[in-house]
Amino acid sequence: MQQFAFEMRDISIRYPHFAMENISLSLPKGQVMGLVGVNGAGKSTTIRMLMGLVKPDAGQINVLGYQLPAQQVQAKYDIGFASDDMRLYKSQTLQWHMDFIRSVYPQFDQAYAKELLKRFELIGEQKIKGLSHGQRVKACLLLVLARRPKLLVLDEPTTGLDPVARDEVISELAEILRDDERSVLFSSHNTHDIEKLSDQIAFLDRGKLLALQDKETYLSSWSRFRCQLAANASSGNTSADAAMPVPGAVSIKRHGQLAEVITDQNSAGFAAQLALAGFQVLEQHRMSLEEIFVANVKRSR
Amino acid sequence: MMHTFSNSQMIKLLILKDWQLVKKSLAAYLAGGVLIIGLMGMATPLLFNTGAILMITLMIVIGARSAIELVVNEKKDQTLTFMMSLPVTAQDYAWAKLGANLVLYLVPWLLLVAGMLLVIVSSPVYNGVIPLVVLVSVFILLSYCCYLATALLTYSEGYTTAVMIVTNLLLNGFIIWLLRMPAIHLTLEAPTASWNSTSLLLLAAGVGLTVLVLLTTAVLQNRKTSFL
Repeated sequence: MQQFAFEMRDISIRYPHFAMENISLSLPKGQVMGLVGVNGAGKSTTIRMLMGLVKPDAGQINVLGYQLPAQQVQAKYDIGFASDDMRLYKSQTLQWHMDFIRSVYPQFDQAYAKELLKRFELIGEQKIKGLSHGQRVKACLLLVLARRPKLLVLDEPTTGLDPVARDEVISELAEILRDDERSVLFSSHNTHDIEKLSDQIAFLDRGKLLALQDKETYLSSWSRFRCQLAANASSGNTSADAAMPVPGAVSIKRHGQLAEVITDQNSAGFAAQLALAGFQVLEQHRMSLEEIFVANVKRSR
Repeated sequence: MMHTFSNSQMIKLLILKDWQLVKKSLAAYLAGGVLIIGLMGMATPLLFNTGAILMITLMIVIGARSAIELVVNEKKDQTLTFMMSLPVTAQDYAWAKLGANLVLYLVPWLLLVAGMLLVIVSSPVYNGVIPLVVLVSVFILLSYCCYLATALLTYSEGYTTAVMIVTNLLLNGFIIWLLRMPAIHLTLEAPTASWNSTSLLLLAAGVGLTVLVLLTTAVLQNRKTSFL
């Protein structure tokens, strides 16, 4: 039987200007899931429901064997949560926060916390108000990771960081995730971070789950073809999306006799379908997660 | 409510955390309170009245800082997200905030009121002012509970500040109203505290309203299904 770190079934929640309907999302234990979506897609709402902070109107949520929000206290002993809007007490030192967290979590690993202090180049005695944004993010991660949670939930942890600080945080996170066998849900609108860290990809847009698949299968299922149109094909000179005469094509953009075709059903069979439809394939490119993200969102709107 | 207190260890830790956050400023306020009580103990009408005004101001400042710093700023400074990532429910958090604020306000409030009463009974100041001092102090406590409730239920600086302003304006009116009451002002210069039916009724009403505000806050907090 598949063991899940969390399982959301048929979740619905309605706000005055936003709704999520029948969302089902689950993460097998030991996996890293990247939750991708533009701002307002529903990533934070999903995470807040997983943390028991928001009660859905319908559906069931099970995290590490606990029903949420009813058993959120027990569940939260094993969940480590950090988000971009999380701040520590400015007037206190990082050491004060470490001591406070240790008083809450008996499993707080002091030796690991010291190791993380060194790795993140943080000073325990420094007051939080003296830390840069990047250092604050690292401090939050330290407090979460040293608890050795079974499930790590990170809501846009790299938002607002400069490229160097973001790379440092992501590299450290990748290192840490390799070391530990813990389940991770990582939300971001930065697809590069997701692509680097995740085993699974979940796409959200306007409260709908557009895709949920393991990363490699998902990335290899999408492809971009540069094609030459056969002489007898209609030769409109437009860059607008043409009609889609090829089964499996997500979009076809024509520029005179050239066309760019994107598919989410990449296979040898799709190339044959293109040839049948009068498209001679010149080049085939693997798409980045960002390109897939944009194509997927455009298709759904 | 049963569930709330099943997480009493976490509630206690959150209260202790709030104590650690404000202990330095609280100590400074109490030191100021000692100075003010000393001023009132000089027992001249000018110094007593000046001390009384300073004491009212101090009680309001302690309450305002407590509600703003420990509740409103927790959301404004985004430390609330950090707190809610801990093994607590929204109700646990609300109980902890209510408990911390009450303890961190009630203790200095009681010390300051007790200090004032001690000065009054041990100095030549007329003991007849005791009902007035107690009633005004209870009104300040009730005002504090009103803006604490607003802070806890809305986490809004604007609403909380508005309630503070209104209650402070009402305090002035309340003092004037008390001083115009024959049952109060005719006994101000009595050698002993005169607890007549009017002052006792006002005291009971003040305490009753304070408890009502706190209970209503707790009930409304328990009904919340979403947090953050």
